[in-house]
Amino acid sequence: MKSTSPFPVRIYRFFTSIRLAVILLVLLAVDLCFAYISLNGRQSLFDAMNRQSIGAWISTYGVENIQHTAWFFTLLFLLSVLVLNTLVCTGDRLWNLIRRWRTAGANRRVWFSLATHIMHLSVVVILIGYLLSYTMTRVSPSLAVVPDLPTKIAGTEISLELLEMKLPVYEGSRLEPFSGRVIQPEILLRMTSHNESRTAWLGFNKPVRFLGHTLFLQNFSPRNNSSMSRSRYIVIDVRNDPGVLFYFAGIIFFLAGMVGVVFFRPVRRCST
Amino acid sequence: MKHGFVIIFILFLLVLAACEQQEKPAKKTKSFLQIGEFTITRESDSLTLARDGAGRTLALVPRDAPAPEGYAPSMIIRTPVRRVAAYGSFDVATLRALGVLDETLVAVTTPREKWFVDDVQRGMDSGKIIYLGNPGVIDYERLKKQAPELVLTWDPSIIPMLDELGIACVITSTPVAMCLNARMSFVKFLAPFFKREKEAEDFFRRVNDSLADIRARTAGVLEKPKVMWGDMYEKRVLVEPGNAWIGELVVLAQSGYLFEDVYGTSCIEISMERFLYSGKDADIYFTYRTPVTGASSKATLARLNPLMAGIKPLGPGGKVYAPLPHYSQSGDKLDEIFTELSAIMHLELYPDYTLKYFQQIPDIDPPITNSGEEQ
Repeated sequence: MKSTSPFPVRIYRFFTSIRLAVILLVLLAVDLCFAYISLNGRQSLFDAMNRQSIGAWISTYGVENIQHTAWFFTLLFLLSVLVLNTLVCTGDRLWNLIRRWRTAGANRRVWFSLATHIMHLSVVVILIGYLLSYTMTRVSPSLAVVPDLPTKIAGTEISLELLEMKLPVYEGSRLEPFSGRVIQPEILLRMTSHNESRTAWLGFNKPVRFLGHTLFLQNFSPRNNSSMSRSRYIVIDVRNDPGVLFYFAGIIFFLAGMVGVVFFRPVRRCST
Repeated sequence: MKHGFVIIFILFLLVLAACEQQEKPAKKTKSFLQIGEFTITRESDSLTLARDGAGRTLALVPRDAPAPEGYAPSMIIRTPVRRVAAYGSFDVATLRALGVLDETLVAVTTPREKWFVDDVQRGMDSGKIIYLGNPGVIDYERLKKQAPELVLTWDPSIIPMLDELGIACVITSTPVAMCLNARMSFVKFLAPFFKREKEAEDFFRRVNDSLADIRARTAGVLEKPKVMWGDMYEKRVLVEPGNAWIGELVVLAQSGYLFEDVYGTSCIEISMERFLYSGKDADIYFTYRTPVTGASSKATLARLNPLMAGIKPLGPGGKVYAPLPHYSQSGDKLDEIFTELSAIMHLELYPDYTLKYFQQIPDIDPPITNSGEEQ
């Protein structure tokens, strides 16, 4: 039977469909299979995305290597539809939930439903965070910092000083190839801007934040005892990423929702 | 209905993937050139962006154009560049390929006696080109005196000091080894700095023709020699990975590269066991050492590293090749180097070929006569 509903209503119904979400998830899985093939040996193509806005990346690397990046464009499209689907679907059900709440009052079932909706919305917040990261992040890539010479982050008033480098080498005997290599460098940095100053230890997987900027250790020297280069320096990437707050907020909401789901889950009584 | 949507979507992906087989259009409105990790983006007639090996974006601006906004002064390079200091011999060779070495090179980090490039020797003799000192500890006073507008280097630790001196810098090495295409096209990366795009195209075409010749000659060869390229040192074993231009060239010349599965930077460290294991299958071994630095004979190599004596090329009838001292400074002769490597791998296809960049090392060192000369 042909639908007689107005077009906007049909569109609305299309996006509230859970079937659409399932189909999108299946398509995402198929797309990621293509991604697995396309990524093989082509990290540098996608690494570049970390150093520039997504618009610049799309107009250069993305378009020039369409055969390897098509999966990414498809991913963006599918994720956008999924966000729309999640928002409309959750909004629709949340509206019904509020109405139920007003008529029947809050009970365990209502709280449980609310918790699941919070989890859905958190995923949307996290995705928005990523979108902001890829579109609005300002990156100063590969900034070299050496001892005794303050280095300024371009476009800011922030100055960096390398105060100390702790480069402990692996002295165990079980992993012979790592013998004499620095595997966990720790760098003491002083960050200064006008009247504000902070000193912190920087390491791999241990970024440092200062005035909205995040400093990531990318490289350092010397890397081992027998290193040909004995110069002491570090190379860092500095990112001013407005999306970070969104990820953390999204993750906190998601965890809160998950706790709610566990706490208010419907209890099935055993019949004796 | 829904199944139809899924099928259409999968077909859409397949069509996009099939684009790989089609040739790219010759020209696009926005010019973007990717050379391994390096890129050149032509934004307008007065602004070209160059991304160097460290991922830094430099603005190339004609001398008479206004400086673009948003770039630190040391990231703006006025073109054509007139004075250059270069660390690497490949960078110097690239300047030569572009035809700008004579007029632009003013400083190097290799002493006069180690140069084989006559243009550099002449420049150093006349005092136009100076030696800056060991690359690890260059003399910044001498550098400042030479007043280069650009430094080509592999060492990021000098960037802060160059910023202080107001000298722009390009990192010409990359964390991942240059592939064959990047090695051939690197000249196209440096070309916009000197406005020598035509010379870069000519060079690229010449090298590309040599590859086409290698492909044609080696097509259908039945015997595929197995090749290894690297060396064992006192504490480390270094090889060329499969993603490096050497590995790709060996495969292109219908031979087998024994470190094809190794991925990473040039001169990558691997375990000694892996080196020795691959060495048991190798037919041809290229060492990093020159005859001057220890690769004078198989016996000498085996004496330097007794464990290495077990690899097949060092045994009777095995072939070991060492680069001649001028090889590393001959990057402007890539076409000849590629052809020579192919000739080494397929001697039967290149009758009467005379080696120019490599030397097959003998089993033992020639005896030394009373006068002190090798026979």
